[in-house]
Amino acid sequence: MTSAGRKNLTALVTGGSRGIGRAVCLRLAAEGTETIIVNYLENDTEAEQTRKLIEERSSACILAKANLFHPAEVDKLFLAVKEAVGRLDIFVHCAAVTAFKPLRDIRPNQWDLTMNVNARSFLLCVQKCIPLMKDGKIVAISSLGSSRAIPNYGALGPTKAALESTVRYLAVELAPSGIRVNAVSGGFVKTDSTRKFPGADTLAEKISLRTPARRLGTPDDIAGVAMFLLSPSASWICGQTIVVDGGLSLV
Amino acid sequence: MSDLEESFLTKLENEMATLLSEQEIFARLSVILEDALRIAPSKVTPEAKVFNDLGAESLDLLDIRFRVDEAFGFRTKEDELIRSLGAGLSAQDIQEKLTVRSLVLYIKNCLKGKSEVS
Repeated sequence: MTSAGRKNLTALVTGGSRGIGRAVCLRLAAEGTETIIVNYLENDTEAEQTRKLIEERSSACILAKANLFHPAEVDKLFLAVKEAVGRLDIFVHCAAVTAFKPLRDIRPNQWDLTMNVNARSFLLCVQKCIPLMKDGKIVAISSLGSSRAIPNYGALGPTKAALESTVRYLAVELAPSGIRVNAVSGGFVKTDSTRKFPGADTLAEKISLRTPARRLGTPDDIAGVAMFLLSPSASWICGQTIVVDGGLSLV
Repeated sequence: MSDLEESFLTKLENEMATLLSEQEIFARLSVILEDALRIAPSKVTPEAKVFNDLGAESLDLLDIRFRVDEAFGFRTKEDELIRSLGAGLSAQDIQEKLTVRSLVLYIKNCLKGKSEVS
């Protein structure tokens, strides 16, 4: 999309200060999105850096610190969005927390925490998006662990499965209102988060060799497909999860 | 009552208030730790190490912080909490140094900061 393509549009990106979220923000800015609201949990330094990079690309940026685990903070976030910009055209959900461990060892509090931040907050945010959107576009960032059993991915995989299912239901419910909902599912992408994976460097090398495209994914690989799903070229794509993994899931 | 006696009593009262306050914080935090980590109340002592004795993992610390935020009405910060334990600590140092008491003191400082701001 050209820079004129997203002129006058307003976007909200959760988990936007780092990793894939930041890449999404920068792509939105590069494509001329007028205002980008960056939600983040607590890393002020990274959030400020994202703001700087967005503003260098001539978009306006609003930093919105909010802990999406708490429904009351979701309410406050959207109240702030409504007061600041009055409407939303784009919503991208990247926020996620996890620990890398087997599912059999997950405690109830860990299940609740990951499920609520990664999946429930998406639902709560979309519910708040509805009155602010006219012909809105929504994208959730998922991962291959939603449908494949990846060792030590037990705290994250089921939450991404819930996220993708939520995308499908919301897509059907909101399509008549002109709101499109889709997801992007990434393979192993090098981010601050995946560096915490047990044996991350060795695993990254193995995955890179196994991937038909012979490299790891980057945050920008995921952000690029999110941009496509947000564009008019994807206007007939509804409730789908697009896999972006260099062919890893095919072998 | 002499000035010296009055000063002593004031100091004593302040210290008692601080002590009581810490006890209240400890009581609330204990409930949070017991519920989050599914541990018996007897395990939660001021000296107990949150990671090494109570079995918390990094994800649990995030959960505990979120619960503390809600229970005490302010937002904890990971970097502030780590700094409150000492400078230049490794991940292993943090696991060793983070006790229930250090959490209580961190919460107490946050509450103090909150009351000064308001």
